[in-house]
Amino acid sequence: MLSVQNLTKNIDGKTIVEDISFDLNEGEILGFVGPNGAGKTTTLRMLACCTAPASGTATLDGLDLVNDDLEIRKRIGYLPEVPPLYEYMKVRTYLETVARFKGVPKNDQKDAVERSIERCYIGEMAKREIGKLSKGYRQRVGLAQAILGDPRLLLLDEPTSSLDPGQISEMRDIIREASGDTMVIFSTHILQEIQNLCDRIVLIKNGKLRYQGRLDQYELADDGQRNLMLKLRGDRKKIETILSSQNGHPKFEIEKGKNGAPVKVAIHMADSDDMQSLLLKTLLNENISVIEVSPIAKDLEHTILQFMRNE
Amino acid sequence: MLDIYRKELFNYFWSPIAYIVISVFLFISGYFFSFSLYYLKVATMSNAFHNMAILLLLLAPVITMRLLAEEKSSGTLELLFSMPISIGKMLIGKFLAGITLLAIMLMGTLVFLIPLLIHSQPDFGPIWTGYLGIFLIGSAYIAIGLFVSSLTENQIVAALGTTAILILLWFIRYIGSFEALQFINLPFEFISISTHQGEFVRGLINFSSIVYLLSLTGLFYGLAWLRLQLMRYG
Repeated sequence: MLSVQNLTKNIDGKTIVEDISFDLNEGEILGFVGPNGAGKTTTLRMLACCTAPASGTATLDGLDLVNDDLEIRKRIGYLPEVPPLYEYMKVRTYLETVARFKGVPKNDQKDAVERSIERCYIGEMAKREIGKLSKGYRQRVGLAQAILGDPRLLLLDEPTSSLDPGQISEMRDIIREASGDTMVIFSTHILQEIQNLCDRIVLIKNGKLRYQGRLDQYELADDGQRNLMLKLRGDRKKIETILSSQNGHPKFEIEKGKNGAPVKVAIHMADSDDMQSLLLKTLLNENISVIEVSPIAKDLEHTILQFMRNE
Repeated sequence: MLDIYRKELFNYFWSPIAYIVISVFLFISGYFFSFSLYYLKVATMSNAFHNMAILLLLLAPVITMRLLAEEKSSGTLELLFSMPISIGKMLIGKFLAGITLLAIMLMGTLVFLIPLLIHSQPDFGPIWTGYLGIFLIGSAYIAIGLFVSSLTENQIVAALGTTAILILLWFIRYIGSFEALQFINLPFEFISISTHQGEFVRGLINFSSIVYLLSLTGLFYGLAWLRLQLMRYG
């Protein structure tokens, strides 16, 4: 388990990260979300022991980030935003070098390297010089070094930025497979990524933690409302009257359409199952046929950005 | 530490740097040795050692320029910082790789002994002390280069900065030749590397020279260590 407590970092007298605390459990993927310059990279660098916190600490399996840093580094896999590659090395030589750096026991090194190559689908590139690889493959080699030796905590700093959509999808699959029992912290400013990959999110802005929790909880916490799309058959004016007279005065919008065609209504109402069933009952009692009820998926990117702006 | 050493040696011999530095060193020092032996008819190694020390003022920075500057510019210093390797051991690994290249260069000059043995009966005392001296001087050069390389991401800046410091340390004894500065001649003469080089080629194992050169090496190794500590913990 990773427990981060009041992590703070100042650089040149400016507070870059302030009092950040969160926990992470086995097998969880945590999305570290925030705009550029929010302090995501600095937090990850602290957790990777690349820079020391000014105050606060973190413990990984009971080991202290500051006092047991050499032990902690054995348990961490870190992929910075720019993959740290020795361009003159061949992929396999590079991974063998990293395995030795990580202190993987000599007898296990070969297997660990092979496993890492296999998990990142870079077998056909293993004998190629890193400097001659495409961006996507370089990113995969970077990820292969991070997951080498099965670290307890995997820290990935914007691993999908500057990749094309196909490469992003591949990278996402590799990360998902790599997670297993490993704890993963995944920083990104591409919000779609967290929807696809993360169990929980930490929102960070101006170095401060703004929200942490599960994604679904975040969506509920957004404004306590739910959005529904209703497909009804009946008189438009009657539908409008019924909706207007509902308790809580839900906001709604009736889509323009031909007479006789099903009426589509987008409704923004209190996030309550009781209220929803009451509305549907009323419609049925008034002889309005309910053909379809579907939730309107929230645009997470929009709501999170709204949240950030409001902060 | 050995893993870093291995990686650095791999880098030297993968790239043309090692081959160029070794070739240039052997060719130029060989030329001056031949000139001294066949033209000036001086059947000793003393001129050769002096020329080697001057040649290293220019070549040691080429050996050391990439040791840390390249790691910084390519982002691989982050990789090393996140690995379970202490900064001290990382620097020793890099320093030893530079020393190994220096040792290979010096071993190449052992062939100079063949014509020396053919044409004269050399006194081996000053030859071995000369080798000890040039090795200690080269070690100090590499420690200085390692430190300068920790200050920048640009390898050219690292090489030029190291050359500037080495030239200063070589020629600083001549500051005392200015009449107005003669009262401070002694300390400048002591800290000048050329003073100590002269002691070794005369066949003397001067304790203070050995201590000075080892201290210089230790000082700049320490400064490089401090620099990286500040980068990581600052």
